[in-house]
Amino acid sequence: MDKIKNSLHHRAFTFSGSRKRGYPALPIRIARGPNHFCGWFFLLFLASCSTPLHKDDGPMAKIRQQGANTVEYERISSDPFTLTLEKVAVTNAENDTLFFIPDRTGQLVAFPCNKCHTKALSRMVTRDPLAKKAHWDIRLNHVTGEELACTTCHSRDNVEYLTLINNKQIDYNKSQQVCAQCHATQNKDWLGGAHGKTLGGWAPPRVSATCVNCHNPHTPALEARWPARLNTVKIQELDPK
Amino acid sequence: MFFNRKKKQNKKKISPAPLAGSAKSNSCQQPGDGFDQVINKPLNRRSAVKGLTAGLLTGAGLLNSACSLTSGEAGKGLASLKWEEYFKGNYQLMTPEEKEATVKRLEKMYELANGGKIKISAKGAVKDVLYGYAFNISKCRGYMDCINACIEENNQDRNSQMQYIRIHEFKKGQMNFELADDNFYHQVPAAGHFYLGTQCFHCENPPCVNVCPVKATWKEKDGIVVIDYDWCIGCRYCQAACPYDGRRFNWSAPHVPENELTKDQHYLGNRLRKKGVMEKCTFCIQRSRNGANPACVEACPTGARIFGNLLDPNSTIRWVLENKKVFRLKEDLGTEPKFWYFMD
Repeated sequence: MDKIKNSLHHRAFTFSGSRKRGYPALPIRIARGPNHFCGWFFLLFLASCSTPLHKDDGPMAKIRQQGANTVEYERISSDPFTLTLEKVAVTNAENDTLFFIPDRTGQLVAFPCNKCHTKALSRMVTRDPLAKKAHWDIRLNHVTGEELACTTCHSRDNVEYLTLINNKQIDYNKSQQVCAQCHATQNKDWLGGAHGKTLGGWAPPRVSATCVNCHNPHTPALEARWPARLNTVKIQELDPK
Repeated sequence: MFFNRKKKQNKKKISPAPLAGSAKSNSCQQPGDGFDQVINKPLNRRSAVKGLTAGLLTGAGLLNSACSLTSGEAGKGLASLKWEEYFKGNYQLMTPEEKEATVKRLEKMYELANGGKIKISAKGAVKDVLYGYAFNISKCRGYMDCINACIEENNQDRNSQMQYIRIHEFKKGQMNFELADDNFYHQVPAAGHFYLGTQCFHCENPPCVNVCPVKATWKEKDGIVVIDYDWCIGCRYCQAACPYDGRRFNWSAPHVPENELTKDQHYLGNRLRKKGVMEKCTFCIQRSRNGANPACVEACPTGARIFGNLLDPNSTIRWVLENKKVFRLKEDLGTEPKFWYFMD
């Protein structure tokens, strides 16, 4: 009886490969050794399960521990990195926080526009195709081309302002409001911090680049170009010295 | 015999001058190979005591000038500074004063060796800060500006082409690292491809730290995994243990042109490493602990890289974690990287 039990036990734990060549089974005395080991390994395995493999000490646990407490930074700020930057405040209505974007009007070469233009934009329109254009170098490549005109974004009535689709005049320093009319998801991400770049540093106060700091509003797509450097292996392949 | 041999070795190490004299006088009497001439040389009591005294005196003098607190930094030569540096302890065990002292020594050693002045900091972690990083794989376009900025900021060797960051090019529709092209050589972004960058993920449970046999690498309070380059023995266990290919071995001492050297350095960050130690991304510890962004974040022209304090509920990184679908690599390993990927 004991013999049968053992052989059954053995069969349950070994592969049938050993019997293919005509051997009835492994002699029981030999088979017993591995089975004992299996038992011990099983016990060890159980013991190892009692200690958790994943302790809850990841970054999320630390964040939970912190709760909603705001952090007070001692002697650390991103101000020293943005000293040369003129800043404009932006409110993020979603969580009622404030952050800064670079001043735009100071960066524009020909601002204010009344240095050159005395008339409103609506009165500058001409049907003459050979007429001289004030901004001949600006190429509009935004959307597919037919939808937008100068006056979609620039105010018809006052050259110093941008405009929304409801003709509300918008300051050049708040140009993101014009972009947000169509690009609502990007605007949401930008306000939160997932889209765009932080200038200065990670420490508060937050200073972020605004839409027009990265995208030329007339040709907003970033262009394809060669990488700034090549990969190590590629350099060796090209220049095997 | 053993006593004799020991004395001779002492003498040879500390004061070569008397040994040279005595060896010369004995060499004609006793022919033999170098071992016999130097080590197995018969020695009478008088010459032994003479040599030993001279050796002790020079040794004591060197020690005195090297370890003396009264002799100013300027009076110390490069050799004595090296001597002190050699016997310093593990950075983790140093008191703040010892940290300042080693940093001062390193600055002085650089000045004596290269003529230029550098500033090395031993600044500790900022309170209530846990650094986190997010990488937008819809925004990265493979421009590789981050790698250039990283090399410049971290004073990496210009010849050996070691880089902390890797940018992988994937065909859209899968994310198999074995099928990724790391050697892309064309205008970017390529149609139908996306780009993903990897570097050290600064895990909360870093496997690399556990395997270090000399405790030369550890996780700082602000979550940055750092290396004490002077304590590292270069065994590369950590490189084998890292599941993310985050660590690099320094095959050559960094040769950086003086005008390209980043002078603002940190002991655990971008100071000039030795040959044969491990190094890796430190989230630019010399910058981040002062509130600045790492060099890669600053250089990225697409805004794909976001860095900040995970414990600050108003930080941009927290907004990304709470509002975007984020994932990490090999999350099932339980390493808890503080480096998340997300899509628009």
